[in-house]
Amino acid sequence: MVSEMQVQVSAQPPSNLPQSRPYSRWRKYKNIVRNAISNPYNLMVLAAIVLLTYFIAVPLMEMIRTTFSLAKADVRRLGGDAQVGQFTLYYWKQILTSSIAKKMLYQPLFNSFLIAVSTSAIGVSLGAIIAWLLVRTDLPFKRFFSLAVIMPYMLPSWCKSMAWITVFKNERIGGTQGFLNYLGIQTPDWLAYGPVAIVAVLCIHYYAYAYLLVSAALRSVNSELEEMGEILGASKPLILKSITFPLVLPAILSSVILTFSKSMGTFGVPSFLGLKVNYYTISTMLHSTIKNQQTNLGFTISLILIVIASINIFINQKLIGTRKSYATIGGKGGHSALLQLGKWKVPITVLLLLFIVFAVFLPLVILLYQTFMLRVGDYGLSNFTLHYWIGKSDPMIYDGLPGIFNNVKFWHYVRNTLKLVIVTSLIATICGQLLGYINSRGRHLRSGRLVEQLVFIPYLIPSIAFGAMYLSMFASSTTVDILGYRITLIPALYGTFTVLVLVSIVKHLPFASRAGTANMIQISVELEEAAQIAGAGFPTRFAKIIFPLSKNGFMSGFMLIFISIMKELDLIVILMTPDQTTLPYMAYTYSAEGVTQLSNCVAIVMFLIVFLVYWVANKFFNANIAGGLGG
Amino acid sequence: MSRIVLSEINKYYGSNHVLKNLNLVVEDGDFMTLLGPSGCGKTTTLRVIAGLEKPQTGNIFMDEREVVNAKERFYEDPAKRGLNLVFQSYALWPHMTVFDNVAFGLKVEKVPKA
Repeated sequence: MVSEMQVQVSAQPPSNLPQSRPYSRWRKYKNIVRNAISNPYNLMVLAAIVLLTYFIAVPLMEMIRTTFSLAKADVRRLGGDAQVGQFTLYYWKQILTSSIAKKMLYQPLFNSFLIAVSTSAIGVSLGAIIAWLLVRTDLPFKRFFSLAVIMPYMLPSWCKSMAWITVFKNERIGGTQGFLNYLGIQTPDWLAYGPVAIVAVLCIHYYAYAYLLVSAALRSVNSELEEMGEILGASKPLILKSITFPLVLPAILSSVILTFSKSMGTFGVPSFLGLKVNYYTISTMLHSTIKNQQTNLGFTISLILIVIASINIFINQKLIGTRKSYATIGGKGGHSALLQLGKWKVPITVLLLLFIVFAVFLPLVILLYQTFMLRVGDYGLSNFTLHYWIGKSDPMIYDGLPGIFNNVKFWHYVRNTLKLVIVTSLIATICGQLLGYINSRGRHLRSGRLVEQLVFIPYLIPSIAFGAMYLSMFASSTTVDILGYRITLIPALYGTFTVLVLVSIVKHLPFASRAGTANMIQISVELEEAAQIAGAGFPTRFAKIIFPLSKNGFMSGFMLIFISIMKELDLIVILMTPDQTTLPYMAYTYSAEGVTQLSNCVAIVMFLIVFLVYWVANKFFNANIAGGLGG
Repeated sequence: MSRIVLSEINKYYGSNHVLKNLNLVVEDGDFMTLLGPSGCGKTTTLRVIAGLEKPQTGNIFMDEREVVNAKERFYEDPAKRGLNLVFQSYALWPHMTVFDNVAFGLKVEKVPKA
């Protein structure tokens, strides 16, 4: 049979070929254009590059340009024939070499470094150990623990600093006395305010990131890999050291980058716990320079922050290198043999429980308890009140501020916040999924990598600097005249809802697109190709195949962004106007004005909203935040 | 059914030259098997014929109809080649029932139910 078949596989072209049309260069160009525009991937990449350039690269360039051009306020200071907008190195010299450089840059920078390094070291170790305990050992009450340990993620970090002050502040600095003070224990200043307090609060906040990343990685390690080691006769500690640990090392290093850059750029905590004792970090310094109208100096500091964040990430990438690729080895590794804790079981459980009580529940309870206190600092029962929740305006209490449920503004801000958060997280998640599609399908293409790198930029820029960048870009409109038509390149958006939406979306794009990529990578290209052969165009494929398969990942991504924006203060604190206030900002201003109870009420409401959303998403959509963070 | 002709097909993945000047005629009604060690280009050949990969040079004909003319950068849409393909992983859509999996292609082509 075979010999009868006319099969030819040879270097010679078959003789009885159908004839091709004569070559036409015109047809070739027509086909090139047709191929380019009929490929949805190309169109999406083009749209992504244009938008990302406009919203990320342009503001960054604008910020860099500003640091080299002379501001109106500084013209007189330079004297001579200096003109507004001329090229100058004044700001860089001022920041790097002048007499104020130590106070404005080097000291805060050193403080930030100290905080970031300690927080990363302590927070990441804590998170990794808890992750290991929960995923790999026979620890009891796992369901309870795994919910409790991610609760810090749902409460803004600066709310915890409010709780910290409540416990540790003393009469010397805080005005009123803290809880320990009330009990007759004198707390030293260094414990109430400054670096120790800041690091402690940041650690009990950021360990949650390390926990989420490392536990996801641990779950993805196939237990067969460990069992293989066991068969070869390796002891449990040896397996842990030379098989498990190296496999989750990439996740640990990613947590270090995340924690380091987050704590470098964090504003809320150091402003609550540092400013009262004149302890400045680079982000609080940045905030105060911009508030003092020294925008150009502020931008210079921002750029230095961005450079540091970039170097940090670069070093980490070098460290992780090719190892990154085996982070997901094994996929879902069936059952996993749990390590018996044996005699350590009880002490470890008690220790973890104590940690949860102190780091997770106590801050919440303190915040809640304080909302029922008529006067701050009096912890007795006679001081109990519901005034700050449901009270009517009373001129004797805080100049007549009513309880939050009776405050018209509060409801306005709740609506405003929900509107912002829902609109933003929806758009960001959809963009993230589309970007994830580009990233996952274009990994090997230059265009895919370019998009990936552009999306990554906002990650490098600390929130507060990012807000400053958008402030400078959208403060006034930029127009150009093209052929007699006036075209607005950049509209004036400062003070509008739109600018808040924009800044929140763009800043969260790296997370959204990571979640999207993790989601899209799971969907095999073949599933799409099979639909393609069946004749389904791109819209049909997206609606019928890709979207249904990525629904859960979509919800996880949505929730991650939702929670993140719900708590956001650092990013929008500079862009806030009275009309557009959100709940975090309301809590922040109340607290800054010393109206602690009301501030706590708002914080508790925020926590409840976040918790409710998490619960719904988890219960009904099977979403989990770890999937969104995904390596 | 129809005759499939591949003529002087070259396919590169980056600098990796996978299909080296491939000429192949599959006559109408042939039952053909491609045999070879892994990495020799069996799957790539099928993907090129189905239209999932675009070869850098060469022509492909189905009967007299030209579906690939690399010199003119012409690559017919996979759906319009009248072929089908079962993937190594089967590529069954996990969120659909067996019925829906079978019906998908028919629905896309708008084949009436009765």
